Amino acid sequence: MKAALSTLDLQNYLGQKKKIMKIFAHFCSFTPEEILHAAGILPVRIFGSHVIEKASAHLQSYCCSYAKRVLEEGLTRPLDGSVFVHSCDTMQRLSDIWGYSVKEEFHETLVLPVVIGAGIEYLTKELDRFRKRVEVFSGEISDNTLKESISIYNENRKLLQKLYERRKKGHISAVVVDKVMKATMTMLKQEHTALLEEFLEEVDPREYSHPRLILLGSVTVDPYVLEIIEEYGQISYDDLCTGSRYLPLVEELSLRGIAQRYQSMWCPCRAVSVPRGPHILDKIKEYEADGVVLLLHKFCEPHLFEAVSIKNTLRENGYPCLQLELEDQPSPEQIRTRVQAFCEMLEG
Amino acid sequence: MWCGIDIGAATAKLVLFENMVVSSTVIPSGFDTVKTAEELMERGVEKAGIHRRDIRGIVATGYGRNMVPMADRTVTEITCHARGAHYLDSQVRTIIDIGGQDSKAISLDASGKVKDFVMNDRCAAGTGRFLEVMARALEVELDELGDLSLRCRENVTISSTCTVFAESEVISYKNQGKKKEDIIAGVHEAIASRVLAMVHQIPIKEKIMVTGGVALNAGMIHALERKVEKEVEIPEDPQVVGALGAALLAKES
Repeated sequence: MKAALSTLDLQNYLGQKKKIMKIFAHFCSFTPEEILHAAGILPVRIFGSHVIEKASAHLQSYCCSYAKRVLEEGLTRPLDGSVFVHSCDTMQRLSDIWGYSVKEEFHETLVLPVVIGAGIEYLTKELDRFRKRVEVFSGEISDNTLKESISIYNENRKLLQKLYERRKKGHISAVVVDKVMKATMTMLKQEHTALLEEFLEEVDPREYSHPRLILLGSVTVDPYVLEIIEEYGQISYDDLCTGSRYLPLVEELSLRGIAQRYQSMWCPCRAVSVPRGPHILDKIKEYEADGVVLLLHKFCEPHLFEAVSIKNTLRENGYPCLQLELEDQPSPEQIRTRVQAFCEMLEG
Repeated sequence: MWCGIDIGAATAKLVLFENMVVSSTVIPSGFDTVKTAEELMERGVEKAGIHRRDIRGIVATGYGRNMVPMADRTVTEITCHARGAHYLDSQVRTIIDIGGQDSKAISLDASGKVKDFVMNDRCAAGTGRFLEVMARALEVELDELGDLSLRCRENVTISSTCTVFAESEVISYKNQGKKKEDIIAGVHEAIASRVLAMVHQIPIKEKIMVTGGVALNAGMIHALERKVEKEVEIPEDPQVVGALGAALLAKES
């Protein structure tokens, strides 16, 4: 791969951006990045590192590694501001802890309705409240600027959907997709779009003979897990925050449109109009998958509470599934044994 | 002649197969896996009275499978245990394997194929290592644990699921003057609970076979049977079922 996107150093990129614009940290797929973009702020999704030294003093051992990782990042390398979403209770409380322990100029938490579809009115008002809060920091955000920003995000997401189409045909590895997704969650959208266009033109087709897998979970913080999975199986679709959950477009170019977009994001943190089990079964059929891998973080309440029901639905329908639980520290060999055994099982 | 090599966390196993098991060899896993594999091969060949060139295929399995230089291919211990257990008894539908560093439960179909499996987490509770730590704390040999625990008169509960904390519980009991055999029975109960919690994630169907080095411990099997409320089958040589499966897979490929 010659494309600039595949060799981009994101830390270096952020270092350059820090000198010229305000950067806000965020942690959730339900963050209205479009509003921040319209305010001239760069929204960056934080993943942190697995070395946890400072964060443990603030969090209990039953908190998920994602919470620990991002807090460590905030305590070590604070940005100009942060935006939390009450996606799960851990993130809600983390927001409080963050508020008094991380030094920054801006801190805000958005509260989502329990059922997104039933709370569009409320969510639109909540987004408006957020917009006003940001305006105090950045100056006025006009409707036109907001529309422009939403369009820029839509354009990028259309290209990401193309990337997913390519992967469906087995032409792009999940490790590469992960890299592209992390880049879009870090970069200024229009700059990522330019690189992504070039990338899509240059991407080389690959051939696979492995079992086809669908990956379910939240965030893939370290790509090592994907690398191991792809030694034995081909990931043809994912249902991840660092993946397909990011793809839906905003139809109506307004705050209401942003709120409505959240209805089509399948996240166990929120009730959506259709249960996730049937949604995943549809995806298995669409992507002709042989099996499903649940990639979950230890102590992640929303995903783990849901896991048993998802696994039962899959088993009742004859689809094998493997649950991998990730912790703070990588444990590649244990993951390798489980993944290799699962793929041996799928191959019969 | 076909060969299966299973490099586990505690022991390394080798099985030579030609229509039946010709020989099986078990040695401790050394730090240097390549050396361990070489030594294992030398001993196995000698025991069987054959030449190395008589071996037509080698499959490696276990945690050290990727470090076995003479292997033609690697297969995970899950698939190998299933293959080995099905060969020993085609009626087996559930395997409980308790090894040195991990434990696993495997569900099989009638043809011996893996239907589902589950492995323990990184914690050592519920594995052979747990027994090793307890044996040391109680100053008994590992292979004495089974018989001693069968002489238990009073139930002692080890509540903790963590090996390190369980060891402190054992030390507390020791200092309360509890009998060794009662404490050991409590340790076996604790492992059985831990293993059962895992096994319940897959359907438990009979026959149930227990494999791995821990199956050599009669007290452990007794505790496990009481928890499952079903009879379990122990093969003649439970430690080498994975290596046997590997040898069979070498023959099939």
